[in-house]
Amino acid sequence: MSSSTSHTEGEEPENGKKPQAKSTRRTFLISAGVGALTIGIGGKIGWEYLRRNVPALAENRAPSAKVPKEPFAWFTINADKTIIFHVPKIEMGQGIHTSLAQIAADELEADWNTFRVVQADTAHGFDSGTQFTFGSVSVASLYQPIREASATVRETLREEAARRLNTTKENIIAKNGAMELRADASKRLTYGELVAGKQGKWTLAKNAPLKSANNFTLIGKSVPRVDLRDKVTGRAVYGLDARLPNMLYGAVARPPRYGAKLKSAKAGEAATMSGVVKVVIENGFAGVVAERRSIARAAAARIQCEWEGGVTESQDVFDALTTVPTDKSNAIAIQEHGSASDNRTDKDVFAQYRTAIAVHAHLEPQAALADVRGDGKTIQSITITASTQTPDMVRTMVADALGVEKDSIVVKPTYAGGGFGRRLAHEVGVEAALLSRAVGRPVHVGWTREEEMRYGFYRPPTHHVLRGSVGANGRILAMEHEVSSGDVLLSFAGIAGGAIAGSVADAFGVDPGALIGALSEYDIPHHRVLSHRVKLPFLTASWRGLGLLPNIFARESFIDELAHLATKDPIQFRLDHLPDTELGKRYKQALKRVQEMSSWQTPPPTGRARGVAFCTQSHTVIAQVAEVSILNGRLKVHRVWAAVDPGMTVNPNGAVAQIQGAIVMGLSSVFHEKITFANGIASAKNFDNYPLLRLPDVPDIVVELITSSDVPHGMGEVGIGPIAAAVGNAVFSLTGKRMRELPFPLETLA
Amino acid sequence: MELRVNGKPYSVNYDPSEMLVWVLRDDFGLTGTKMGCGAGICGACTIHINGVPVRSCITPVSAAMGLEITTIEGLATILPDGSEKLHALQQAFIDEQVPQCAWCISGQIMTAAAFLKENPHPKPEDIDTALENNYCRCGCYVRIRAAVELAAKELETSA
Repeated sequence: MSSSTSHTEGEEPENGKKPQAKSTRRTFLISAGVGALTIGIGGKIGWEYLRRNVPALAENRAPSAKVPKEPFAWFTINADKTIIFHVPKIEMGQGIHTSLAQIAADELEADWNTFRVVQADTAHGFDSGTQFTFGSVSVASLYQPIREASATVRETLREEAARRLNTTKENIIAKNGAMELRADASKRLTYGELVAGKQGKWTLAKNAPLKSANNFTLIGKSVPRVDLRDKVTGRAVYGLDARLPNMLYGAVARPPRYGAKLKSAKAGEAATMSGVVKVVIENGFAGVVAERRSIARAAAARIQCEWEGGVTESQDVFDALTTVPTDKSNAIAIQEHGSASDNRTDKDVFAQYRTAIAVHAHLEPQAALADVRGDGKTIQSITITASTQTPDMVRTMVADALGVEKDSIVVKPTYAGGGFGRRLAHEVGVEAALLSRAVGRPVHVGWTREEEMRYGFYRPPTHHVLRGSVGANGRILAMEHEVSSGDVLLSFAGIAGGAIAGSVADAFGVDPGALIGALSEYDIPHHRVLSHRVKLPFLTASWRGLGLLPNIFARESFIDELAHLATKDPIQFRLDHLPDTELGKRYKQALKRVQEMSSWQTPPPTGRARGVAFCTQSHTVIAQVAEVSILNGRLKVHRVWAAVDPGMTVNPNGAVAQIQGAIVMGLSSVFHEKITFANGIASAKNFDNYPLLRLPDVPDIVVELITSSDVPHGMGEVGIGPIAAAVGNAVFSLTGKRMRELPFPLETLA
Repeated sequence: MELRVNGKPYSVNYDPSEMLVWVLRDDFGLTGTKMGCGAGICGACTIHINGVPVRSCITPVSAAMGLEITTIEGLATILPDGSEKLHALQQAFIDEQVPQCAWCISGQIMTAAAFLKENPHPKPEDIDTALENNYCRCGCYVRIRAAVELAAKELETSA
């Protein structure tokens, strides 16, 4: 076990541990002059970044990372042998701090036991898109850049060691954080010694070679997570845990309807409550700063607010809005060949699927500690310590709200208690900043569960209409899938860029996020996928896997319907319809593997049945089989097998954890998760009305990884895709009842 | 007024109806106890009062006066040489690489610690029942099961 730990960088939240590096030490970072780095991108990261990368995302590729040209920006090499790795991505449970550190330390030939991981803040110099943590692309997009940067630093150090030892670099071996003379291991200089003793400026090594995979010592190994000791002892600091001396607590008045605007507000009795420091009413915002969190919340509820506008409708209206229209004039074909509508046989199926609105239910409510400093008239600096997936989005949103330049804002990301797409926007950072500005002291705002359920954004509702025909040869002749969904990625245009960017979003016509998983891999002669973009009056946006869960649930359940119509084995039916392309071969391999793992050919125990489904996301392929029974009218999922081909894997145990977790999250949607609106507001306020999957309902989950290349693809979301269909297909096999809604209509199984 | 947390006294001068979770976190800086729902449903805020697991988000300060509170920060043992010996559950959660985001983990461990004290030889289904009201959104459940089983074995051999 390594002694590496993971910390939040920089000026300490009071309870945060300082990184081991002291600024008084001479460090590589300083000597390399990282302060002079100019890192590109300004503007609205969420939107700009998405627009730049939408084609890549839609085509299921990892967007390219913009990383510092200065390789030293990644590291601080201390004289005491410790090396600090400044990691741009946010650790929200996916193990990314560990995986990226493995890549860096391996290529650098660092000593893992003295290698430390520190979360980079926005002042560190990373491109905003590189900090943006989303879409299962962290490893995929940074694997090569981190290796190149690390190799360059390694070779630069090798050249320096050669100079110091009066030899040539060919005679120097890089090993465990030191450069040693090949012929005499006692002639050895640690990286820290090389940096501390450096005279003059560094000249970067050119064309540094990358290690051969045969020589990997960390990449591909199940290295224990670097953050777990702090997490099992309660020391790890998250946004809700952030503290500063002299801090106060804030809370915000909320409307009775989603999206209602504050027309007017009077402080009323909120102002005179004991412990209230200030009631802040400005520009459509009403909040309280108080000495205690409970007082702030109680006072915020007592501000006399008059609200206007907002959502008034109930769920039936949104269900109707989401229903695939008979008028196809606004539909956009995202995949089409042959003529799906003209080719019908007597074996013809029509089916509709729906997915409910859901919340993210990350267990740490969104939270931020804002420290706005100024002289009372002008703002000099703003520091936001927060759990966020998009540090730069926090800067953008706070800059817009406070009317300041982004340059004055530093965001210090903490660990995040789950993200799942919710922490792509950051309203709480804006709220904390407005309140801190008003009182001239640091203010912490942490949302309640009720605020999370009612005032954030949602996984959109979806509706799917599918038609398919099976020919006399037992193969699918024609298939059409119409997807109707609320926005997923285009919403961020509105969040980050307001009305202008919103109209740009309208010009897109289709939301690539909503269509993740909608493109079909099957070889079908007449095939069409149509997109209907639904505009809903409440905000819907990213949720783990984006469109993957709803689209794969509909498509893979429907394929199962066609397989039954053709009286074919569901796995064989899929194999028969997969092309002999490179990707098609990977699908087949994963399907065959899961067939073996689940002993598919052997009948399940009496009273049980199995179902299969597969999908791809961020270029990773996964096939799953679920085994279910129904006991006393209750659905029980006994076991799930998953065969996953992510190309290659940096940390196999961590990859397996991602698949296990995604399957559980998908099952939670199968069993429970559903938000409904009544009179413009979500009915659920807390988990009593919106339960999550609990331990007794969790199956055994068996995961196998398939290595098919030397390039790592995404792991964070792909596992959520097939699970609902796999379970639904098993339920059909057992009962003859087809589950066509998420959550399943479980009462029909009783 | 005084509260005892992890063997140390803390003075309290707040409304005794204040919920313990916020006093521990905001006043004492013991942020290892997490807050997930504020309604006693998710279990992230679980602490021990006199060894009994309670939901600190719905337990007022007044209910803990004069009693021994233990939080996740007090679960490990500090050895004479100053080093930290983790509780068997904390070690098992690392050995099984359980946590993902870990926001629920303090509550999982505190709930399991009280359970194993009363049930040193649990059957797998007993573990499921003991932890059925502790949510894990990242879906670490399979590993939570394994870690509690491992810790039970560890506690048995070290007893």
